[in-house]
Order: sequence, then C-alpha cells, then structure tokens
Amino acid sequence: MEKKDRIKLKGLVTVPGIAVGLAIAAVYLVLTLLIPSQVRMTQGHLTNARLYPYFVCICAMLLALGFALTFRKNEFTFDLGIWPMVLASLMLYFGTKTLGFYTSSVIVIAYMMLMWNNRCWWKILLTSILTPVSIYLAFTVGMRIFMPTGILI
Amino acid sequence: MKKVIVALFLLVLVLPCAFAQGSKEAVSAEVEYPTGPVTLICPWAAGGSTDITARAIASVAEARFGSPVVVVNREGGGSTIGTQEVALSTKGDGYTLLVGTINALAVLPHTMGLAYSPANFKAIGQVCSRDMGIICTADKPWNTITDFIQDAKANPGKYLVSCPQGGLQNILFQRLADMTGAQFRVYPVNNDTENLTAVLGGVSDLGVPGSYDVAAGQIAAGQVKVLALFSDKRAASLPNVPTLKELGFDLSFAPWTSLLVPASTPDSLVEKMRGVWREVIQSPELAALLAKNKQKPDYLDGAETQLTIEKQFKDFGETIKSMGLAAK
Amino acid sequence: MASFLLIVQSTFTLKILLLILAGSLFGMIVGAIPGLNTTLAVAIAIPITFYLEPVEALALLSAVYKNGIYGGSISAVLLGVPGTPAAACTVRDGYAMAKKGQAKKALDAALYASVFADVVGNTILILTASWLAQFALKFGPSENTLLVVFALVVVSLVGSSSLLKGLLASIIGLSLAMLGMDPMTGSPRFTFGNINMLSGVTLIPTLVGMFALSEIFVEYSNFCHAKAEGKSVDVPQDKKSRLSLKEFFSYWRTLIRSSLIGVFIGALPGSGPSTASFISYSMAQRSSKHPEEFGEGSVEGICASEAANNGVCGAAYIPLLTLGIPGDTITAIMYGALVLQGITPGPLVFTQQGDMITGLYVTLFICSIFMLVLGKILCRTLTNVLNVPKGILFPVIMIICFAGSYSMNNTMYDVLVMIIAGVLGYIYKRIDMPIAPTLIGFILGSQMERSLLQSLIKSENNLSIFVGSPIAIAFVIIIVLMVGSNFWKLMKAKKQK
Repeated sequence: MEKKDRIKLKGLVTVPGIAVGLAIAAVYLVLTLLIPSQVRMTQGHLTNARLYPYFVCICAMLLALGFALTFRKNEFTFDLGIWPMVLASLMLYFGTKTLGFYTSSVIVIAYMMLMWNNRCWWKILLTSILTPVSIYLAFTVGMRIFMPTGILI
Repeated sequence: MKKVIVALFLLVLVLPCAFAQGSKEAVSAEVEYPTGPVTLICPWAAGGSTDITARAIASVAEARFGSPVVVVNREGGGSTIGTQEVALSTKGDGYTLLVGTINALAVLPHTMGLAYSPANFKAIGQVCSRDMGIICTADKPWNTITDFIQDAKANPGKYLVSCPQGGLQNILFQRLADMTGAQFRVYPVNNDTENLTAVLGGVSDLGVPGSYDVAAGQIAAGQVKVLALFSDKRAASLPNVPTLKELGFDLSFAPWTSLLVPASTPDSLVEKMRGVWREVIQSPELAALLAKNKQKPDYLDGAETQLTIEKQFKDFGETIKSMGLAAK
Repeated sequence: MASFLLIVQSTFTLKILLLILAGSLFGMIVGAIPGLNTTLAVAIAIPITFYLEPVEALALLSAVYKNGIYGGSISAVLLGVPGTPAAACTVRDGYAMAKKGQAKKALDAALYASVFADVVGNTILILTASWLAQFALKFGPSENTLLVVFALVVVSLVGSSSLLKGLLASIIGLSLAMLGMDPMTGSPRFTFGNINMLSGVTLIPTLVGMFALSEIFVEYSNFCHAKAEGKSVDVPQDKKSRLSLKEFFSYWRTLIRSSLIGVFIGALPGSGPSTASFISYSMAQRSSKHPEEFGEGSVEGICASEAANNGVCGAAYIPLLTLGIPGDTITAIMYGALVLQGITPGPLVFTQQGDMITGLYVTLFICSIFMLVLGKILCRTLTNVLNVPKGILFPVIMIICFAGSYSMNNTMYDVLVMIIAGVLGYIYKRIDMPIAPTLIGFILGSQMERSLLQSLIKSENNLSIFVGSPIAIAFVIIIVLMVGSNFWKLMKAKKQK
C-alpha cells in the first residue's frame, strides 16, 4: 500500500508581468490618496510635511508603471503550495499569544517537520523539545530576555 | 514504550514552568516586596543615556533585592510606545516599572495627541536629572545669552538654533524668545549627537542639547562655550556660566528621569514601593554610577514627583497650544 | 618607546585577554543569530563594564562589536539571512556558495576579509584620527543628502541588471521607511491610529522576514517539486572546500578599496556598516573582471562586502575619540560606557588620557587576532549545520527567527512585521526583484528625508546648497557620471540588438 504523501503539485499560479506592475502601482495610488488623511499638517512644521510622502509615492507609482510596461511580456510564477509554511508561521504567532512561546514552538516544529515529510517520530520529538530548550538557555538564561507566555509556557 | 515517551514529553513541557515567569498575585502592604523578578521598562533603545541609567538602577536594585531586576527595551515613537504600554496597563502588580522621562510624560502627549497623561501613572520617585545648557562654538561673538538675544533682535530670523523640533528644548527656547522678542529659526536634529555635529560643523549657530555634557570634551578644550544654563543653580564645573534664572528669566527646567507604575497599582502597594525604592535611589552605589553617567542624583519622593509631573504637563500644554504645535 | 612597551605589557594581562575572548565569543554568537544584532550584544555587555577599568571595558566592548559584525556573515552564508544588516550583501554570494557545497570557502573569505579590514581600519585610526575627523565635520546636511542619493543610485545596480527594478526596489524601501513617525516632528504618518505603527516598520524583523522566512517558503516549494520528481534537495558540503591565502590575496585591489570605503564611511558620524558594505559591493562589481559571477558565488563579492563592514568598525572610533561624537549606534553605547568610566572623549583625550588610548589601540589589534582564531574554529564546526537535512533545519530556523525578532523590542508586533516581510520577500524572489536596494532604501530613508529637509531649512529653500561646497559638487558629478554611464551602456546594448 502506498503511503499517502502530503505533497501536492498543484498550486502554481502564473501572473503576467503587467499585472504585477499594475498591482504595485495601484498600491501606491491608494497610499497617495491616503496622504491627506494620514499625514497631518500642523502649524509647527518647518517645511511642508506632505512634500516628501507625495514625492516618494508618485515616484513609486511611475516606476511601477514603468515596470508594468517593460515586463509586460514576462510571466512570473507563484507557488501557492507554500501554504503549509505560511500557516506554520501564523500558528506560531497566534499560538504564542494564546498558549505561550515554548508550547506553540513544540507544536509548530512538529507540524513543519511532518510537512517536510519526516516520518521518524523520535527525530520529530527530539527536535521539537530540544529547540525550545536551547532557546530558553540562550535567551532567558544567557541574556535575560523572556519569551512571551500565555496559558501555558 | 509509547507511554513512556508521552510521559517524558509531558514532563519536559512542564519543567520550564518552574523557571519561567509565573503570574504575579496582588501584593498587600503586609507582604514582602519584591518577591520575584522585577522589570524596568526603558522606552529608549539599548545603549542610550536613559538605557544606561536604567541598567545602573537595575544592577544596584538587584544587588539589594536579591531577585533579578531586568531592563526591557520597548523603544519607538520617541519613547511614547513604551510609556503608553505602561500607562494603559491594567496589571498594576508593582513588578513592572517605567523609567520615564520628561519629554514622554509632559511634552509629547500634547504635540502628538496621545492617549495617556500623568493621570495614568503613579510616581515612585525621581531618580536623577541633567543640566540643560545653550552652547555655541568659541569663535562666535556672544559671551552670554543676553548678547545673543540682542543680536537676534537686531537680525530677526538670521540665526539657526539646533534642537529636536517640538521637543522640550524647542519649547523652552521658544519661551525665551517670546519673553524677549527675539526671533530665530529652528534647525531640527534628532538627538544630542547630531546637535553637537551641527554646532561644530558650523551648520547651526546655537545648540540646545538635552544636556550640555555632550560637548564636555570640547568645552574643556575651549572649542565650545556655554552661554547659559536652564537650571536652578550654577554648575560646579562651569562657575562662570549664569543660569537663566539669574538673568531674570523664569525658565528653570532639569530634564528628569523617574520611576513610575501604572495607575492601576493599588495605593498601599505604591506606598510600600516608594519606601523600598527610595533606598535604592538614594544609595551611594547608584549615586556613583549616575555621576559617571553625567546625571545628577536628584531624588524627589513619589508624591512630589507626581505633583511635579502634573504641573509640568499643564504648563507645557499651555505653551504648546500657544506655539501652535498641539496635535489636532 | 620604553613607555609604549610598558603599555603593551600592561595590556597583555590575563584579565584583558579573557575579557576579549569572552566578548569575541559572545559577540560572534549573538551576531550569528538571526534577529539579534550587535547593538543588543553590546548593550548587554554594558553592566559588566561598570566594574571594570577603562581599558578593560573598552577591550570587552570592542571585542563584542567587531566580532558581532563578523558574526552576521556566518548566518548570512549558512542560512541565507544576514545576522546584522551589514551582512546583507554577503548573503548574495555567500549563500549561493553554500548551496553549491562551498560554505567553508565562503566563510573563510568572510573571515579573512573581515580581519584584513579590521587591521587596515585600526592602522588608519592610529595614523590619521584627528585629520579624518575634521574632514568628517565638513559633511553638512547637503553632503549627507547627496551621500544617501549616491548610495541609492549605486545600490540600485546591485543584484539585477535592470536599473528599473533596482530603482523601484529602492523607492519601495524609501516608502517603507516613510511609515511611522515623521523624522522631523514625530507626528504619525500612515499609522491608522495604531500605536504600534508609530515606530513604523522595524528594521531587524523586516530583514529577517525578507531573507530568512521567504527562503523557508522558497525552499519548501523546491522541496515539493523535487520530491515529486524523485530528487533530493540536500546538498552535502564539500569537506575539502577552503580558501587558499594565495587566492585571497589575489583580490588585494578589492580588499584595499573596500576597506578604505569602509573606513571613510565609518568616519562619518551617522553612516554605518550597511551603507559601506552595499557601496563597496556595488563598486567591486563594476570594476571586477568577472562581474557576472557576483550573485552566483563570487569570493570577490564576499570580500568586498565583509571588508567594508569591518572597516567601519575601526573608523567608527575616529569621531568618537577625537570629537566625542559617536560614529554609529554601537560607538554611541561605547561613548556612554566611556563616560561611565569618567573619561571624556573629545579633543583633549589624546593628551590627557594618551595612555588609555594607546592601550585601546593595542587591544584593537588583539581583538583582530582573536577574531581570526575563533572564527576559524567556529566555522569549522558550524559548517556541519548545513549537513543537517533541510526538513529538520528549517523548522528550527523558523523558531530562532521568531525568537530573535521578538527579542529586540519584546513585542509581538515585530513578529507580525517579520511574517508580512516574509511574504513580501517571497514575492520579491518570484518576480526577481533585488532585495538589497529595498533594504538600503529602508535603512537610509529617514536619514535622507531628514538631511533633505535640514538642507532646505539651512538654505531657506534655496537648492543651490547642493552644489555649495567642494564635497557636494564632487558627489553631484559622481552621481551624474554613474547614471549617465549606465544609460550609455543601455543604449549601446540596445543598438547592438
């Protein structure tokens, strides 16, 4: 019986260069429009406080449009199959806030190692325990930096 | 075998709890303080002058308390992020203190429209203060601040004075200008180092750094002179430099550093803390370290510190509004 | 001469040597951990200096400083993430070499170049300190602005043959720097009312995210595809890989140029190792006989980047000692430590505390020796890290990056920044955008804005301040020449097609 692989090959997304360029330009357009509300002009300013933000955003927009033009024929691929890794980082972030750093790091290491197709239970156990312990020794004991705690450690 | 592994797994998970910071219970006045690790929040980056002061306090306190006293840097927003975090904290258990400075507590809340004010804090005690002074290079034609003021009145807008824009020094110097009718332009710098560079490089004509000690080497070598001081009394190392108070201006400010806790801390605990920390602040070891860091040990007890902060907050609020720098 | 020997003798005490050893080890390790940088290491060492003599304190801090900067290149080569921003250029070639199994050679190159530049920097410090400091004072706001523009232009050419991509990357970096506080007044920009956004995008987590986290994503993607095709992604390290001294010294031109760039930039108050290493890398690429190798695993590239960032270390002492103005954040910490010792850096320090200064010079050279020895030992063992299968290595790296990003400011906000930067970095890598210009745009962004506004204030909105001094004019000419020569090359290439 074939073991079930957790690897999927689907998920490659191809995006033409012009779309990428236009997307970047759109982001900067939004930022430019937000400048009046997000950058305050107070009387005490020695120069126009909005000068620099406008300059940067408009330059960025122009360059992004240039990018869209120059690379319109290129195609860029993004692999959506990386979602387990993105999920792992989010798990670590939210897990630390709720459960605590050390607990969630054990869970996340185990998850990531499973995703990388490790089947050795003892390797997973060893790594997921030793890493938080080493971090504890290096950071907390060595440098007095405390990691966030939650319900658990 | 699997059960042994699972048991070991759980055991290892539980062990670090013994070492990690547990939660603190509310402490009543009869209970010993401190019984566990204390955290000093320093709202500036590691290595700055406030950070060094915080680390000096921490090392002396740790020696006296016997439990760890750790400095945690929470930099950002010109010291407002760390300050705000403590201000709005509901966990007033006495084990997290803020190393607060005048800018963050009395000036920036007005200019930046922040969500806190001295009412969000209870002061434990003032630790030290610095002497602010007005410096310029030795080749400038003025010997005292009155010379400069006359010159500035005759040439409005000609002279550049370097200081952080909208900060304490800017406001004080502006007040001086308003009192005398002199007009000058501000050359914005970020910190004392940039200030000194601007003065030495001839970019600005006068500088008002957070503490004139930043130019100590040049003053000793005669390359920089101090025109006036913002303090109550003359400095021992500068016997010939007058204070603005002497010259008739009601401008006496010493940027202070104090220890504060969130207002959510119960009053009985605050009283206990004030007593305990007073010994640390007034200890000779700390005085020696502070003196080396060019800070004047300047102890004020908790209640007086609180009053000082509130008064300065109100005062600066009015000046800032009149200067048009208040956040809308 | 007799007194000099006496000072040397008094410096070679066991205590100082032990302090230097401890400091070097600590600095190197902290520098190598992604997310922790040298500033933190030096700050942690400060309380220890409370109880030391001046020369001892300086020895400890200098050891931590120099080895911290070098340590950043260790993780740059092995993990593809710069341990300190200054090692960002080392990543390009160092990591590429590691992927080919040549990690040890890359580490050797980084080590030798760092030590070389260290010695050069120390020597120049001793010989020309006050002269160089006076020169540095001539850099006013307009010169600083032009320096930043120069750095941005030069760096836009790093990592990609397309000037357009480079410039876009730089501008993206500048716009990232724009978020947070206005550098002049501190008033919030684009913070959307969130207090955490007041400090803007934090540098180190962005660095870690864009380099390390994105690399984890890329490697996972490669892993999935390789697995489907039945191949393995693990590349064993070549045990015999090493850098011969002969090959190292064959790059003497690059080494000397990069060290000098490092020293020059280090002497200017406010500029740091990252600016120096980027500029030096770009210049080396332009004048190299094999420019196409840069980015694929060029030893010369590693030498350029590492020599510059260590050259800054020695030179950063120059404004510190002669003017009492720290050259960068770390020397600012040392300034504080010196003051705590009762020493006032400034014009008189050479006459009044000349002995201490000579002692400092001797310890600087001792630090270089320790760096060489420790580096060789550490690298030999650390290269084995790369023999760990990726399926075990990357999860561990993720946790370390997380811990490192959190540690600087003790806030989860930084971790969130790191994750977002990771996704951004992945997008960058997929559209072949160079990360280096974004990084330097980000680092220099607020400085550029500040210098620009300061120039306008000083000159009362008169733009002629940018050609108002010999230094400024020189910069303008160099910038115009560089952009011009690039366009010319572009035109030539188009005509040939």
